[in-house]
Amino acid sequence: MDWSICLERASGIEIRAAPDGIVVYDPARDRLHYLNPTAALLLESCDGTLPAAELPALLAAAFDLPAPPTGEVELPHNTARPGAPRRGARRLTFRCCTGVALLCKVSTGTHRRGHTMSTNPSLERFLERVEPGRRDALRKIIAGAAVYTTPVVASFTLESLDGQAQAQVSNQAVSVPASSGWSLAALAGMVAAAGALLLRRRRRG
Amino acid sequence: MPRPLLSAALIVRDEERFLAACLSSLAGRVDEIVVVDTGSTDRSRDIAGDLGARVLPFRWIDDFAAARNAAVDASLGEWVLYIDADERLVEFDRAEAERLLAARDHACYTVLFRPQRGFTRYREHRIFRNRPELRFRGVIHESLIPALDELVAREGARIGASAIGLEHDGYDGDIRHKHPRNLPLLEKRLAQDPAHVYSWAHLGTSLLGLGDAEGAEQAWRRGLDVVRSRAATTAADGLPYLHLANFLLDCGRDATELLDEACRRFPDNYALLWLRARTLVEAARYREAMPLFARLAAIDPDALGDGPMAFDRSIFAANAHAALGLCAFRLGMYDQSAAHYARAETLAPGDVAIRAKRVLAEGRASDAAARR
Repeated sequence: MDWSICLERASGIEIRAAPDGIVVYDPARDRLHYLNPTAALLLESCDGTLPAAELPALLAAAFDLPAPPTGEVELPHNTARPGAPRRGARRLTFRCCTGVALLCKVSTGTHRRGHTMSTNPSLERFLERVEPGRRDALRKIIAGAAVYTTPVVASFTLESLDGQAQAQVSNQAVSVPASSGWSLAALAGMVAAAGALLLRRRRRG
Repeated sequence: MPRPLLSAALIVRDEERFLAACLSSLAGRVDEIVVVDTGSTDRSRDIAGDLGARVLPFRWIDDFAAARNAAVDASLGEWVLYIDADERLVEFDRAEAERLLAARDHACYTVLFRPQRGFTRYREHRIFRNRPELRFRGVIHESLIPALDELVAREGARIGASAIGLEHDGYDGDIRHKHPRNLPLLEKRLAQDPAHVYSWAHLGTSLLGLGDAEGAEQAWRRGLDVVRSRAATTAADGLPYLHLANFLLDCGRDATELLDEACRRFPDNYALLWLRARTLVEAARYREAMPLFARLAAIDPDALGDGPMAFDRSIFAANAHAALGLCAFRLGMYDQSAAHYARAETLAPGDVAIRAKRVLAEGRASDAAARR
C-alpha cells in the first residue's frame, strides 16, 4: 500500500459516542458502523493531514505498545491507490478507515498500557503534532479504552432486518373440500393442470 | 404376557447419521421400537439392532404410506408413536403418558413438534391407538388424519393434546438429494389428489431446488388456484403464497398484490405478515408497516406451540422491535425509535447492529430535545 496517502473523514457522516466505541452513520449510503475504541481513534485521526504511515505509530503511542501494529492497520490494496489526491477522495478515505478494521486479522492478544493518559510521554509527543481542536476527542477515545485491541468495525445498513419469512405446517395436511363455487369445471381444470405439468416434466426428462 | 403400552414405529433408509440419537431418545420411554428398513446400504440396520430395536426389511415401492403402515402393522403396543430417524423425543413424562393413554375414549394425541432449529412449534398427530383401521394414506406426505376423521365421525373418538415434545433435525442441512426422490412421488400424489395444496407447495420447492424456476412458479400458482376456489382454508394453504412471494421478491419482482391477498386469507400466518411488512418498508410506507411489526413484536413465540403452523423465530421479539425502531426512525420519531431499539437490545443483548441503531436513535432524540 501507499503509506504516504493522507486520510480524511468523509463529510456528512454522523458520529455518536457509545460506551465502548463510537457509532458512525453515513446517511448518503444508509450505512451504519460500530467502531471499537481503536478503530475510533483511527477515524478521529483522519483529518486529512496525517499520512497513513503515522497511524500505526499513533496507536503505539496511544497504547504504549512495544512496536507499531502496522499489519493491523494496513489498508486494503484497492483503496490505497498510489498518488490518490489528498482532498479529492473524501469518500474513499472513509472507506479506507472502515476497510482497515474489516480486513484486520482478529487478534485475541491485548497489550496493557504502561502509563496513564497524563503521563504517557510518547502520546503527548504525538498529540502535539495533531491539530489542537482534535486533541480532546482523541484523548477521550483513548481514555475510554483500557487496553489495546485490534481495530474492529462492524457495518450494517440501517434498513437491515434479520427476520426470515419461513413457515412450516404438518405434512399430514389433507385437502379441504371445495366450496360451493368449486365447480366440476374447476376440478377438471386442476386435473388438466396437473396432467400438463406431468407431461412437461416427462418431456424434459 | 401383557401387551406393551406404547410402540415407537420408524421407517428408515440410510439414516446412520441420525438414527442413534433418535433411538437413544426413545430408550426407556417407549416399550418397544420397530424399525422398518426400506433398503439401507449404510449401518442403519446394525445401529437399530444394537440399540434394541426390532428391525424388519421392507421392499421400497415408492409409497411412504405403505412403508409406514408396515411399521405400524408390526407394532405390538396398544398405542403407536410414529417418529422419523431424524427426529428426537425431547419431552416425555412416562407417568403422564400412561395417564393419557389410559383414556378409553381417545384415539389419538397430538405432540408439540419443532420442525427445524430456530422455529416455533406446532401440533402433530403422532400418537394413535393401534387399531387396524387407523392407517396412513398417501404415497408421499402420508397422513393418518383421513382415517382418524372417519373414526371420530363413526365412533365419536376423541383427539387429545399432549405435552410430549418432538424435534426434527434432518432438514437443517442440505436436502438437495431428496428432490429427485420426491419429485415423481409428488407428481403421483397430485395426479391422485390435485387439491392437495401442501404437495403443490412442496412440488414448487423441489423444482426450484432442481433449478426449474419456471416450473416452481407454475406449481405454486396451481396451489393458489386451489386455495382461491375454496371458501375455507387450512394453515397449509398459506404455503404456496409464502413460497411464491419469497421467490418473486428474491427475483426482484413485485409481490405486493399477492401478499395483500395472502394476508387477507391467512391473517395468522406470521411469516406472510413479516414479508408484507418488509415490502411496505421497502416502499417507504413506514406508517402502514408499523402495526404489522407491532403485532409480531407482541407475540410470545414460545406460546405458539398449540397452533397449526411453525415459524422462524427471527420474525418475532428483537427483530420485530428493531423493525419498529427503523420505521419510527424513518418517520423522525426518534424517541420512539430509541425505545424500540432499546427493547430489541434487551431481547438480543449481543446484537451489535441493534446496539448501534439504538445509539444513533438516542443521539437523534437527544438532538431533537435540545432543539426544543
